[in-house]
Amino acid sequence: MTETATGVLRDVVDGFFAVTDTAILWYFLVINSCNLLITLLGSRDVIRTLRRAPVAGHDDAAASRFTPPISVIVPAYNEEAVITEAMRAMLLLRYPRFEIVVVDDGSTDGTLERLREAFDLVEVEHVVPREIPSRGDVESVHLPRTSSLPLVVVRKQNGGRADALNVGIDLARYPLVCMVDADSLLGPEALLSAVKPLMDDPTRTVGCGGVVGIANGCVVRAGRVVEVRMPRESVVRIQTIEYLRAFLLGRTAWSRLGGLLIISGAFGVFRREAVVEVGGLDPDCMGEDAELVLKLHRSMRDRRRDYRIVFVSEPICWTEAPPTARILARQRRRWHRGLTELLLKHRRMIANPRYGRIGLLTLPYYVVFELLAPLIEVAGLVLVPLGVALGAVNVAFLWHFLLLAYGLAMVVSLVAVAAEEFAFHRFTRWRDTADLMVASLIENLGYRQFLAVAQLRGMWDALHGSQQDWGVMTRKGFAPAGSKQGGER
Amino acid sequence: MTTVLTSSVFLLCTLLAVMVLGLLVVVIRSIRLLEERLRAARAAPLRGLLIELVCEDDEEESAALRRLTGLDQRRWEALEPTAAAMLGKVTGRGRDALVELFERRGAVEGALAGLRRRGTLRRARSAELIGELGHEPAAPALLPLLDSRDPDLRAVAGRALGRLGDVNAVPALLDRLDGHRRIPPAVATSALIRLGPVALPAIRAGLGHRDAVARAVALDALASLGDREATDVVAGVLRDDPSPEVRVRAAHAMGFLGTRDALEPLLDTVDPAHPLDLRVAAAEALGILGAVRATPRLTALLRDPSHRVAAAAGDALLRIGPAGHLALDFSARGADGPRAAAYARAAIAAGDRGTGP
Repeated sequence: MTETATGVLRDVVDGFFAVTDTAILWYFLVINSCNLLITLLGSRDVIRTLRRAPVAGHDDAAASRFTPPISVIVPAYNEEAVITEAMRAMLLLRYPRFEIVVVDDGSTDGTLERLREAFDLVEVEHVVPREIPSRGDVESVHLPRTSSLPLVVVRKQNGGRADALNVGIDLARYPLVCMVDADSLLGPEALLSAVKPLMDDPTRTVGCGGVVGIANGCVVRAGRVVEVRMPRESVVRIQTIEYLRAFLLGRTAWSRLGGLLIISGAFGVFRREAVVEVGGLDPDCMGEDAELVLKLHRSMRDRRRDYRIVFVSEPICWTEAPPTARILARQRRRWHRGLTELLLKHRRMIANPRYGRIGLLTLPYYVVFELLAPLIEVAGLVLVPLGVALGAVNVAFLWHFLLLAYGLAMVVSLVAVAAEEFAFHRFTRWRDTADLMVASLIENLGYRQFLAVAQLRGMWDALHGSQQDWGVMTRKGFAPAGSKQGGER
Repeated sequence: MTTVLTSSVFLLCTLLAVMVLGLLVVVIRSIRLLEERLRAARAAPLRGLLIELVCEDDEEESAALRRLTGLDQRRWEALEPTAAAMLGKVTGRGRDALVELFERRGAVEGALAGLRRRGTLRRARSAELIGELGHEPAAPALLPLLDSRDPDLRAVAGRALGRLGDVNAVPALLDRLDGHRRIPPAVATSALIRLGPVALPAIRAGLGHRDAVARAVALDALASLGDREATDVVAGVLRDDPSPEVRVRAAHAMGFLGTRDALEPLLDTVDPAHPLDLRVAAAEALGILGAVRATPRLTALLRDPSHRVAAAAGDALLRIGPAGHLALDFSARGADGPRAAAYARAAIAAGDRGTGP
């Protein structure tokens, strides 16, 4: 009797491991195949776009009175270390007519003072339109005392990044708004590149995202990246390949498929009117940037409007990536919490034909291959070796798992490196290219697993509604070429 | 046994893919670097000749032109991108010399042949070069590109047609703002403006186009070219066009045309009975027009319940000049109520610092 019970139990355990491990194996095969397809599609588009850049007509747009004016919104919280240099660089952007609206979100450091000193600001009378609701009241508006620099500095009560952006959009004078992080370094043609799709198709295009690259290790002069180099820290090197594969090629491919979901908060251009119509960004959502894009999709589809939200693959914007594993884990925990909240909030859109490609393609993909990926990854890491240890699955199966989960992922990353070398060739030194290739191989050996755990914690935070933690990003700042990097922020 | 075999095949394929991709990166990089070095080495000693060509006097210019014309094909191919980039940046005699150089090198014939090639990029580059060279006889060869399946090629052709100065291109440019194979409105507007006053009759005819975007583009072009004779027609568009966006453009055009006849139609258009966007545009246009007679109406608009209208009125009063500034000062002191005072003060603050409209 006991032997029979043990046998049955053994069969159940074997059956459990056989089913779950096989499911995990198939999951990794499908996710990596999808990623490979997306990377190839993105590579094709990036190469095509960059080859055509010389005939894109930027010179005409830069000189035309009919290029739509744009308000660049820069939310700032305790950014005294970089804000002045960042604004000086932004004021030199090549674009016919623009203004920069810096929104100081109740900084406790000298952000406003630094700006006041650098640009001789003076407080002026203002009217807040209140077309978008905001939490923190505007305390004061400042303009340069005598110069005609197109700079507006708004001081408001602390309300978070999304709230600061909402106030900036509310006060923006121009029909296009560009949301930029205070620590973002923009290329001189950034606005021209990002506005082009909105000029080319003015009646349909409501938003455009731009490429965000990692600035760590790069040579920066006067707020501009003048030479692209690989960072020294391994954790940042791996992020470089991650940005290249997922954020550049991935988003380019989703844009081509008409299902772009994420426009990075570091750089994105939108029609102000469209953002106002959806009530601006949601200050309660951790992933407010993606939430805005999804809200735009939803609003446009609900009203049966013909519209486009696109991504441009020309190099546009550089930002500092988390330099340590601890900060990176915190960032990814926040990102995954944001994704979970976003998908829960808009769950009605998932697999809903009413929302077209976003509902039927993008959102299901994000649920299965982004939201659940860390869960399956951790499950695979636990269950497959356990199944082997218990003799429920054989060693050959473990090999299959490793090859499909990680070997194929390495191939996907190397395809991205090849695309970067063919299309952008931004890295001038051989050693940087070699580092990039090594990073694409070691990404799967510890880094991914480490992130999966952080992401699971983010998902847990979202499901349990724990208090939002915006996190403190310890940054080194961008130093001029030839000097040591600046002090921590 | 089968499982072990499958695992081995998987492993082998993965390793092979990693090696092939790694090798591919190295090969791509090596070829690119080699090409770049060769091109730079060939072009470097010749750049001085290009500078001589565009900057020096007749004699040295002629000498430089002769030497550049006589270059072998390889060295010219290395130098051509620099010369082509200079074409868009220099004017006057320097530009004429560059155009002559390209013509002597057979660039026009080459570009015309390039328009018939298969590759989209090659055709786009050829169209761009023809536009830069301003080779007017090439206009008929460019027109079919406006129907290309490729949007970038259509846009390049549109821009090039504007540079060639052939007014026969106007109807084609306006027609391609409608349908599946469209050109960007900004490209069409710039092209029409580049064609200049000689194209005004054809552009005016565009105000009756069936497509609203084409009418809007025609209005922008007329305004930019300062076609004062069109004021009455534009006023009719402002009043009667079925498209709200076209009426907005008409309002702005009235402001830029700057005739006395523009005042009354614009004053009528700021009336609350009209759509909000149109009222804002009319208020802005009154500022651009700079008519002192608009001051009382604009001052009254500072009290408008719409933020956009009130703000536009403040900006417009700034633009009008001393009379507008005086009105803003009165309003800022509360003469027209607290709402008007707030908008007047905000406008004055922006105006004092040169950040106004």
